[in-house]
Amino acid sequence: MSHITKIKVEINDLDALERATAELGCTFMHNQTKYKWFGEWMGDSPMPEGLTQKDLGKCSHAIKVPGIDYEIGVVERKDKPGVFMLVYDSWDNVKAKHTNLISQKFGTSLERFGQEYAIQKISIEAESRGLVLDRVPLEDGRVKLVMGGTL
Amino acid sequence: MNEQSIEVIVGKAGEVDIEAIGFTGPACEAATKFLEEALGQVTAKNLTGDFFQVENEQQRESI
Repeated sequence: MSHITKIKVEINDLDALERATAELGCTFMHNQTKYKWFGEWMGDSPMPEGLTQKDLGKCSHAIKVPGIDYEIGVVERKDKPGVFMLVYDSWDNVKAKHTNLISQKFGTSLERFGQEYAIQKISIEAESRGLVLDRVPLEDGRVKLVMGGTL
Repeated sequence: MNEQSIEVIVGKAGEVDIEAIGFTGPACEAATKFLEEALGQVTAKNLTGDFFQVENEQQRESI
């Protein structure tokens, strides 16, 4: 053991995102520039960082979740070209008996996509270097990846 | 030399901890650099005992 690095993962590899999408049972819709949402900004939830009202519903690619009408937008960040964020209509209201099926399935911040993207990105890096990668799911929901070979 | 590997823990929201195992000195930083560059922003780096091992040994030799 010599050092531990903590990293905040950024989505900068669409191949890895597509692999993560498939792993999570969804479909990556290349060059679909609109994602389905309510269609009108009601101001009842926080605006995604870096976006304005007129940006909502627009994307570079989209993700289709089986059995769910609304979609997830893959939106390129204005402040960091080449880096993408995932945007979806996150409205959820217990009183109105509305359950947000996307957040229920993947977490309110689409955490499951974040985790699976990181795993797929690391797998791609390992494959490109001919390294062996073991994937070990941990009991607490985290995933351990062990990379070996000629490092 | 100890067997070398890189261990990565991917958290439930995609946060990543990378640990180089079996390396000494700055070689460990070189070993994980490709992953750090591929994944995004490094938010913290903790050097553990082994990082300083070579340097300390060299210092001892020169005393």
